[in-house]
Amino acid sequence: MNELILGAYTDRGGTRPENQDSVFSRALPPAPPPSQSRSPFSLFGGKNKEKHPRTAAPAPQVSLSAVCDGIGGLERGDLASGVVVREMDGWMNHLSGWVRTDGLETDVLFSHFRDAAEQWNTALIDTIKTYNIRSGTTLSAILCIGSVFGILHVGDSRVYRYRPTEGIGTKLLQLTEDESVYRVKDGKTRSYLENFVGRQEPLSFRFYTGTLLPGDMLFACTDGFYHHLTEQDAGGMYAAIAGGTAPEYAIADAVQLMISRGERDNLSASLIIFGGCVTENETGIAAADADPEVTMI
Amino acid sequence: MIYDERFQLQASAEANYLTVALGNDAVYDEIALRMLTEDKPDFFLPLSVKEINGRLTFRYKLINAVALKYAVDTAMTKKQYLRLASDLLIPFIKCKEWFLDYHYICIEPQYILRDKANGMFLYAYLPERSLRNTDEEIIAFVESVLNYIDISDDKEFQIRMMHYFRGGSVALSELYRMLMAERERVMDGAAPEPVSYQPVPPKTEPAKTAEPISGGIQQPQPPKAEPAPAQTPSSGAGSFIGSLINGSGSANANSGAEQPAAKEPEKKGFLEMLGISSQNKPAEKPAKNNDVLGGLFGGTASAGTSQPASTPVNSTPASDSVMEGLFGSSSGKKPAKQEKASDPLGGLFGAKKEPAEKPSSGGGLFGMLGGQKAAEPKPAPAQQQPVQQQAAPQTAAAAGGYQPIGTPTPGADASPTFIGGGDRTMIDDLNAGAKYLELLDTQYADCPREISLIFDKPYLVVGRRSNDPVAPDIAFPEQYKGVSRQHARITKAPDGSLSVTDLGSTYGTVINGQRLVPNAVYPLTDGAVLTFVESKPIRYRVHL
Repeated sequence: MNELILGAYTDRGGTRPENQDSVFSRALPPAPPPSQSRSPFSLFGGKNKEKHPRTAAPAPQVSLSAVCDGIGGLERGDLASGVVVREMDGWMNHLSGWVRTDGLETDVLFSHFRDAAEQWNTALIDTIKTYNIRSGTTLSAILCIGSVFGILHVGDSRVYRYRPTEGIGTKLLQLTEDESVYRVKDGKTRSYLENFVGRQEPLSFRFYTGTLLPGDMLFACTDGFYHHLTEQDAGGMYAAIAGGTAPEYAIADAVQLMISRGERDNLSASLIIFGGCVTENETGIAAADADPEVTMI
Repeated sequence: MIYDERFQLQASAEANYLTVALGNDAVYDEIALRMLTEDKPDFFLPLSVKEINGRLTFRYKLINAVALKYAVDTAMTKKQYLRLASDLLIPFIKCKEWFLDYHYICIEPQYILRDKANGMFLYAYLPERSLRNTDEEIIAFVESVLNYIDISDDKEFQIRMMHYFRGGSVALSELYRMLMAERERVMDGAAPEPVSYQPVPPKTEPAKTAEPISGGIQQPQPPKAEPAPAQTPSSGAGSFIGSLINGSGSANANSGAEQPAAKEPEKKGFLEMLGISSQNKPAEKPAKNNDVLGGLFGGTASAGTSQPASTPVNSTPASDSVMEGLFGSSSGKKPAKQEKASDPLGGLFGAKKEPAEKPSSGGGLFGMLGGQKAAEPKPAPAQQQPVQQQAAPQTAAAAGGYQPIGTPTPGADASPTFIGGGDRTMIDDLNAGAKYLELLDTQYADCPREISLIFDKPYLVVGRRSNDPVAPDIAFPEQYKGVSRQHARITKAPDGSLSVTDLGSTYGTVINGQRLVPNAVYPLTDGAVLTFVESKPIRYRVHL
């Protein structure tokens, strides 16, 4: 029930000279049984996981999936997105040192998630000052604690939910709001970011929480990925994963599809599937019975 | 390989030892044993071979050195990082000079030491077939150590190191050369030398059924360039991350297969010379050619690797292109700022700056181990209850619902009992029964001088004010960034006794000089010194 499937993929695309996107996808190892002391060296390679078999009732898993899109109009977008993703890795290292997912208080962990985002912003601003550049990145990060998720969102990357049990036309749901404005310039409608990581302190962000049903897929993606994205494309990704394709390769196939439709930007996505893949007929929980509300706080 | 019950740490009056007891079917490398016991390479722990209860036992003396976990700070300067990284790799690079195989170097961190005097890393060499590591395991070990460190004065270099490891084509020899070159430049303060760019050879399409790379960070692989050195990139180079929660996702492909040579007849075996009966069969002598030490050392490509198929990394003229592809941008065209310094480790070197406030070394991640550096003096430790897991208080969120903005969660008081600004809180007249925290010292301005510990609720949350809908009960001002939003909890037991729990704060909670393990319950005793934020302490004395 608590199984998580994660994967991420990033691609420079067909036109851009470099990839300014960065992706992140990582889950914490399951909590060891209380009777066994945690090896202090799980931080270094986690080779002791064989010594800590799962308990009979696995604790909820904690995972972080994210995409960052360096701002092309500024300088060194690749550095900006890389710094934030690196900071995420450090934060997960920090969590892995103490988080026990059994008995974990989701509110506390979500508050730490928000604290961490501010620290990532500070780290990026420090880097920007050090290199004396103007830079920034979007950030869409999904922290999953079992079936509960929190989304921390800055900018115009997006987080979608794909629920295979919903009806056609409603399976794919955009959970986040773009922090951008559209203006007409030179006769063309262009999108301008209103907010990004590295812009200012304190960080301004949106935070969403919600609950997943078994089989739900959440994926964070940059604008290059979603410009030509359809519900069918998301369904194709899901079906491929359900059929045994590794998630990152399923995303890669979707990326190629977007490129074939003329996408010029970098393309990235990071996904998580909770509770394993399901078909429309497999779920034992009616969608209407679940708590589908996604709340922004 | 798995470091299991065969590995034991033993202490004697003379020294500490690591012993590795081999099974009756152990197959060991006699040549390697001779090398280790007679020639004694200085980067391997001193080894003696014993027969104990009929079983061959390797015994390593752990001398005058610090375990790896204490030798690695979470934050370092670039100089320190380069030195550590290059020192970490030396045994893997140099062991072949001693006719040893790097696959048999023990990579379990608790058995890796760093010499206090010269900083050299000391490894145990385990010349027994079942103790062989795969290339993937070795790379994962090196990556886990190096990516664990924050380079405080050169973020770009750190990002490049991160990208290098996630690029999927790690070669230890190349990595070592680059680190040493970078180290020399940094030590000398010389300007980086330009390296001519050569495009990376094209990569083949990833196999659909290939094992995913274990989770982490990715940057795109070098482009699928045409064989001619084209500066304009072709399309669609991507990179992969996958991790299935039930497995690490990294295969244990055994790359670089050994090529057994004909068995040499020995008139007297090595063990016989030591007076040990040779119940265990010595291994067939391994070939000494580079195929055995290939894979990571730029030989032929590893077979059966779990990573997407890549072109072989070899030590021929493409090495520069390998370095460039691993460290540069992913395309033929560099960003303008990089072109002037196109060395393999990136063109920009950040100016040195004071490290930002970070968790103190040995803090957060090592707090639960009490892993402060051994040299630091400590006051007497606080009395501790056995570590308990704090029961999750029932909140609306835990019950499955989410409160809309503005609705206080049941059991939580939306208005904090403390508001910052330096004003005394509700204690205007103290009597002998008052329970409160008295401010001792702090680097933050306007901390409250006293905080009442008299409350009717089961617990108080100590934290920082923010834009969260529910503020903590004891809320420090928003600008106190060292205090986490939910930093610690002070709990009242039915008998009225108080305890404190760190809620996983970034910068920690300390009682009487000892950093609290997150989620563990500690009693609050009269006179104890309670500190929030270990690096910029806000210290209070407990009055009960």
